[in-house]
Amino acid sequence: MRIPTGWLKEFVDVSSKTTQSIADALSMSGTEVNSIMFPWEYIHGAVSGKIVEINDHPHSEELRTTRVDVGDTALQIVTSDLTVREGETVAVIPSGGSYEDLDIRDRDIRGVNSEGMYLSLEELRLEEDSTRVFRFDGEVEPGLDAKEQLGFDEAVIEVELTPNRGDCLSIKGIARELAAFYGTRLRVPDVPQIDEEERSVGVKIEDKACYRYTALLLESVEVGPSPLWMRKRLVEAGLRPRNNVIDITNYVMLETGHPVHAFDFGRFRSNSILVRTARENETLQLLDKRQVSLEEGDLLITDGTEPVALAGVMGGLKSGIYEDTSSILLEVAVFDPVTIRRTSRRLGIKTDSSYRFERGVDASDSVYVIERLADLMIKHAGAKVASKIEDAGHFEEAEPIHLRKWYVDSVLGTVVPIKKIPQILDALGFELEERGDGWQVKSPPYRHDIEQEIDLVEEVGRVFGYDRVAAKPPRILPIAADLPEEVLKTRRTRRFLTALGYDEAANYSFISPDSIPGLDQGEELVQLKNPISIDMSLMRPYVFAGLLGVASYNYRRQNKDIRVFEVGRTFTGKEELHLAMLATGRENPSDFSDKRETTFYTFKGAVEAFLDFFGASPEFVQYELPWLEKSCAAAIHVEGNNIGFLGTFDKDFAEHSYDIKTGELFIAEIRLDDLSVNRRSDIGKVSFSPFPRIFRDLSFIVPSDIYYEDLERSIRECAPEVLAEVTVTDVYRGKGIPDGHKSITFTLVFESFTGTLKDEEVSRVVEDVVSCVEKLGARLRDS
Amino acid sequence: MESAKLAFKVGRKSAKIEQVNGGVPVSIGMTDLDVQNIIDQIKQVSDINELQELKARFLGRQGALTTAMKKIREVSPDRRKDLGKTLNLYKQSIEDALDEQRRKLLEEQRKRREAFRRYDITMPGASREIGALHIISQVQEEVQEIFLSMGFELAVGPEMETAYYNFEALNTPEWHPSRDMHDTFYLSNGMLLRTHTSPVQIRVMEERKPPLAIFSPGRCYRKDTPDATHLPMFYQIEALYVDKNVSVAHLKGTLEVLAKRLFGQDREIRLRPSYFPFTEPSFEVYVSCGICHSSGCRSCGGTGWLEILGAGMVHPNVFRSVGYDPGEWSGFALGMGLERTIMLKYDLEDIRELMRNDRRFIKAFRGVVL
Ligand SMILES: [Zn+2]
Repeated sequence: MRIPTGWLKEFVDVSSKTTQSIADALSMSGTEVNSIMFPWEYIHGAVSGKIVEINDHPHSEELRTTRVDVGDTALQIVTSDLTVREGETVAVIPSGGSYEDLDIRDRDIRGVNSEGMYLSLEELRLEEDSTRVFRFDGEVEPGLDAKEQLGFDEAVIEVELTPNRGDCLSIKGIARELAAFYGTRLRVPDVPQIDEEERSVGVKIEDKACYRYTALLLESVEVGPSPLWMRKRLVEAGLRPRNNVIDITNYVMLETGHPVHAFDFGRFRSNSILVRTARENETLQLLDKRQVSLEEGDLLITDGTEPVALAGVMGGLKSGIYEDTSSILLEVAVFDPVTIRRTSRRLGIKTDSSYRFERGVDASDSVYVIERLADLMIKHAGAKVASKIEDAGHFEEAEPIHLRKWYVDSVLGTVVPIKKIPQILDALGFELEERGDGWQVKSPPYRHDIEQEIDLVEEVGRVFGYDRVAAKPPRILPIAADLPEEVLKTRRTRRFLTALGYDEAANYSFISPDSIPGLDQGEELVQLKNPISIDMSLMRPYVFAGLLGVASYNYRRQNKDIRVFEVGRTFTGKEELHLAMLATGRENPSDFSDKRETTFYTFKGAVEAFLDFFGASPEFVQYELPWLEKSCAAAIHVEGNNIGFLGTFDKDFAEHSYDIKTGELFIAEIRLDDLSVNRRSDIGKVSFSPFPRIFRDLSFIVPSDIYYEDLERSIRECAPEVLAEVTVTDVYRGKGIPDGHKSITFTLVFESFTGTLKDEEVSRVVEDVVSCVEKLGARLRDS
Repeated sequence: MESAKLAFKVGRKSAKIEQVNGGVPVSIGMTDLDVQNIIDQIKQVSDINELQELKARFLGRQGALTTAMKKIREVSPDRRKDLGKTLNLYKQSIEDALDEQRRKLLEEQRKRREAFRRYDITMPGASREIGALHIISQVQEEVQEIFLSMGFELAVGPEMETAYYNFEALNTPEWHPSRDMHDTFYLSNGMLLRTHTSPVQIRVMEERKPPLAIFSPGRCYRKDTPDATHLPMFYQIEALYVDKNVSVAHLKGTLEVLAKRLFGQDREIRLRPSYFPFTEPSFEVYVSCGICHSSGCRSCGGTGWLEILGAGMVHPNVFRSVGYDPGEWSGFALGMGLERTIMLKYDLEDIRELMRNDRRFIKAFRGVVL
């Protein structure tokens, strides 16, 4: 909301304060200040000028050549306003000044030099289309700063109000805050008693969502422009001036915080007001020409026959104010905030009126507000009072709240001087009565946010000032709680994978449904009902989906050696903690001596190292997933559970959807919920043989379709306990190896706990191993 | 073989000792000893191993000199003394020659080694790249560490929440305008995405009796279209302390620790009254600008203070909703957005950079905290 400081100063004496200090005062007492602005800062160098001479333009009948006294000199200015007269005072931007982005310079206008421009009301943004230049009302000495003379140099403070402070949505409300802060009084414009007429416009409230409805009929209204000072303030407040009737209703709303309405009473079908809930299938065309379908629960203002306004939201088009309007019915009403909010939200119509009603308006001063309206209508729209003030409904005073002095101190953590408390609350409009250990406090009718004692403590605190509360360390006792498993696992995972050379990524929890192929089988997918876009409409069932985007993004920027991971939650029927890894390109890009590309084996090695770090002994099982290449896909089994997968991401999909044309993308996803936080704690006592180990290398030529796993199992099964370890030291295909075969070299490590092994013993075991392995179709390779 | 050329012969020439001076051949019995020749040979050796071999041949147990020494007994006693002296002299000369040649060879070896630079020490090392943690994780752990050190306990909760935990239990009824502060994502399973980590407060308080001090980090969601200062997903860390007689002073004390450890020991904090439905009073918390120290400069927009988080005293209605007696217990809560902290600490202008995962961006932050 924008607060014009000139207007504000009518309500509170802050003449000795700078705009900045007013802004700081508001800010530190709870009203956030967004900016300090000057609505006419787009005009530079404007001065007052007196027209001293008018001549015809030598080449145009549509122009006049004028001389204007601007103090120290007289300028020649060409104008298209043929109504200018000698002696009139105008606003001029002489050459050297500027208007918006335009630098004003001497200009040739059809053969005549023009040394500046006259400002019109259109250029001052107070009128739609101006044909005439602006004239000052009275005498103004030439050569003075025009903006200053007009008050157009006044600052406007833009504030952002929290939803609890409906009472601050007005000049009066903000002034009240400042008065309390500075310890001065609020000044409210006096309204002369209006002479009510006998005539009564019946007002009937049928629904309790209307708390109070006050109305007054005015006649012989002349619709026309509103006074300049009013238009200026509306513009400062960010509203567009329309006509006197509408401008006055807006003006009073900004001033008092009451949304008010003016109906064209001549367009009513019946001559009374009935406030009721909408009926099924009822419709209404609103002032913005929108046709809305109403539901029961929407509150309507009707003329007794048909709806004329959607209560608290917007008036109807038919009974709006037009040029020929002459009798108007003024409405000052108070509605239930929730009812207004429901209707406004459902229809997606948010107005200055609904905004204020949702936050609660003052139900106590309806009569004052309608008198203020009437007074301005009489003065500026020629209106005459044509009825008595109708006032239906009521308002309830708040129940007093007991405020304990010690409670104030105990919440704020400081001792507030005892006199300060009633002083602050009184200035904010609360009524206090000393009682026991504190006060009985009655809230003013505009403070709908005050419900209990703590709300009063906050009022005291914010005006007293939190800078006056000294910091104290809290006395938190040590706790024995462990960190949650999720946190421990996440931390260990991050440490390990960065040590492995993987960078960590962070991706949104929502993904595009198209980011992974074949994502529908048996997954309990969770969609966003109101996503920002389709690309962010599915809660991720896997974390790797985001990593594909990361790979694509970096690939397109020529970063083709990628090793990246993310650890985070997935969302299906439940939330799980997953690790996803992705690798492509060089295995070790910053090592010039290591030219290896990432392969399934290097990637699997990283996955195995990770699982080993968590003490898991995985089994890798041939697997099929729609997003993995069939030839390279494995499920990861740990203790019988399928805890994830790894493999090569679908190459066609990588190319079409992620623009990754070269290289293989290896991905893995592991459900961390299935791993233990720490390595197995049941390793027991660590022991190893004191006797020397014996190493033997064995190379076999094996058919390519034999799984390594079977070979290893076979070796282990036929070797006695002295076989301590089996590892692969080489895999080779090529020269010397028949097609469809490969050579695998195993290193066997023998060890005994009872003595030094003899060569013959080991040789015997090796012979057994060879014959076992050969049964599988392998053949010992001649060395 | 090299040894065939040796002028050292035993048993071919008759023993003939004419002089005791070095360089003159000596004959003892059947043994000739041509010292000059031996020394010349030593001087011609170019391999350090060969030198070793020569040494054995001349001075070893079966060596010529040793043999000659043994034969000294065969010489007439009157010449024995002189001959012994001579042989010792010869032995000394050979040893000296060996030593000298050895030094010479070692020196040559060193010169050769030095002339050939096997390693170019200016070459980059064949490096093992260490991965970089995302800056969000680093700052999250940094903040976690601060709260843990103050005695807060870490708690986590679901990101898919119910309206009850996200709003109602936090004193935010369905039709209250404060819901406008949270543009919420709703899910097909009837849940919503939490708009703050505050639901964890409720879940913990429902389970436990006070006093308690917890904090909860995690992802939160609000329906904001991404721009330079907004993301539809953000990371929050929220802390809650419930005890007897907790006051705004304790909140300030905690915030001071947080601000000083996170932003620097010279920083100050300031509370500005604000509004959150679940705290009363509520605050926006500011930290003094690190550049101008609260006197106002361009980087803080002239105000001297930078907004870092929201906080407040737990609203009695929140205590009521979890069955705590607000007459007995009081507490404070504070919640900070990690992205905002990162933007302030690392001068990040576009928050979306955090979600782009450009390798260069991630790498740039390697090791800033962890
Ligand atoms: Zn600064």
